[in-house]
Amino acid sequence: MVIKVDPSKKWSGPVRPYDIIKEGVIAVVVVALLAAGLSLFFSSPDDKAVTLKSWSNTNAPDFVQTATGELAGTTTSAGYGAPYNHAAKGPTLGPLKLQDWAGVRIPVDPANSFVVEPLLTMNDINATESVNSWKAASVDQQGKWATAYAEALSKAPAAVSVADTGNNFGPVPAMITSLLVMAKSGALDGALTTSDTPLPTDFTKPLLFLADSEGYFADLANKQHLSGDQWGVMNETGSWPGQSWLWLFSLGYQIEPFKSSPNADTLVMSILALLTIGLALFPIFPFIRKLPYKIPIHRLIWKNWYQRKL
Amino acid sequence: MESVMHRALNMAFINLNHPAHFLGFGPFQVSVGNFVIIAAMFVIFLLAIFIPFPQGKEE
Amino acid sequence: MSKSSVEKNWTARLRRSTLETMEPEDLLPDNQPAYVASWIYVFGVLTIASLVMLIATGLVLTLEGPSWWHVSSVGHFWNSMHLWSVELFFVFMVVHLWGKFWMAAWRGKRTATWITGVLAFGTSIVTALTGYLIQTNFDSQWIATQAKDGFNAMGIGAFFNTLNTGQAILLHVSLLPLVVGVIVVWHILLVRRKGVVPPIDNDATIDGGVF
Repeated sequence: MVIKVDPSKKWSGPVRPYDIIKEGVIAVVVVALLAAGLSLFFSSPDDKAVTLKSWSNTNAPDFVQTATGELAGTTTSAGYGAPYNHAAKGPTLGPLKLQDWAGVRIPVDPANSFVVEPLLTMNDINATESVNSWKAASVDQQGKWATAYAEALSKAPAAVSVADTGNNFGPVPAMITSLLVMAKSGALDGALTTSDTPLPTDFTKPLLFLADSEGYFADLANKQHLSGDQWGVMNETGSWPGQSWLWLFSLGYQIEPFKSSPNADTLVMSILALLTIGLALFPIFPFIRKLPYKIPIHRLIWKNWYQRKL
Repeated sequence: MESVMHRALNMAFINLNHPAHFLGFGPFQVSVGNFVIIAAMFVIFLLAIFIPFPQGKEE
Repeated sequence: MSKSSVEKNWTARLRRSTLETMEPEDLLPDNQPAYVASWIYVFGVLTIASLVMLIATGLVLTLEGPSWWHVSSVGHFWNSMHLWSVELFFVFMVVHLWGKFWMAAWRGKRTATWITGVLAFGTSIVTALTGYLIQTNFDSQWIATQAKDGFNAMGIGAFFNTLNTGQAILLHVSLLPLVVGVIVVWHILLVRRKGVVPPIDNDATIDGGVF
């Protein structure tokens, strides 16, 4: 005979002694010892942060090409759209303009923010003169100069500057060369983080600039298997375990149709949000809530209880 | 600063500061570190439901 | 005091409802149902213990600031303690979740317990993300530039700027631990109030034993 009770009512059957405080204290001691052991055995990773200084000193051609791209409007930041600028419309979920709805709340105009304004903070007559030439020109003319220089640089991928034999580049080569000098000295890092306030805690500008780099920043990440298409969301630098709890989120970026979709972020994030809500609502889904009865793992958990003689 | 990192890692018995190895096939790749953590979850769950629990006195 | 004046008194109302829903023996019990006898039952408290370690090691890191662990081997050790506490936290939480699923622990009007558990899981993941953002090393820089695309795609990047380390620090150290703490306390109080769910074979509410 099996006693049947209403599980919503307080238990009035047999009990056993229990010390909740002692259990809690033992658990904390056990976890502390485990954490200490793991820390002593394995330590933790700390790959040094990169800067515009390390970038320009390690891969100057890549820096120069990216900076020119900022002026030409061809980089990711320059064409991002909300919340940084109005350059493009963001991805949508059906009729929902998720990315655009809040507008431009973190204004970043890469050409001005990353190149023009920092150059003006330098006490350099040549830099100032080239910037003044740039600012005096029309937007159309600026675009022509920058695009022409970007094309010339792409044909000489190891170069940090190209001579302006056809008089097509305007002040752009001088601006980019001055910016490279500024970056190599570390002054550009300072200029970008102190542009809005003298004591920096916000690294939006240097990080957006770094993220536009194809040959440096992304390359460092690829080497550590941190890219989205390398299950990077789950991974850690070195051989340490990473964020295994993000497995399902990471999986989204490895499979079609998300892998090659320009809307991948919106789709994967939305699906994960729905699945998380689904997990919270497991108790009400008819098939899922019956699974523990159909696959009776509980018979192992309560084995001794079920074997009791009444 | 790198010497501090190296000092800390030299104190670690096992140095994990090298490129990770990956297990898997095709598009499914998992780092050894993550695989160990995930496998540990399964092993711990199985141990928890199979290992007998000490039976004390009842009231 | 008359009934109408007790109802107007907020303090009395709160005291009465608290004492009615939670007796001291429920909150701090010294016995438990005899069916609570499996190692699977320790993973809830192990998860709480890991959270305690996260807060404790986090407080040590708070004392010296976000850059300390780059320049001090003692600091690096406490960072390791904090990181491994995170790994233990999620391992124990997942084992706890699996156990609760296979026990169908939402039975007997315990749906809220299940839901607060999933909420705790979700908010912990968000809190962990902000933690990874404030490492102030290459990993945090990469995660910041990648996570921004996810947040922007959902329309919240304008408010939660992963590239703003100052915001991430304040979220991780102040706001999010409070949120996680409140949800965890709520979850624990629900467990204490409802008691541990009885075994499936003893459940009178499952119709005729047919599942």
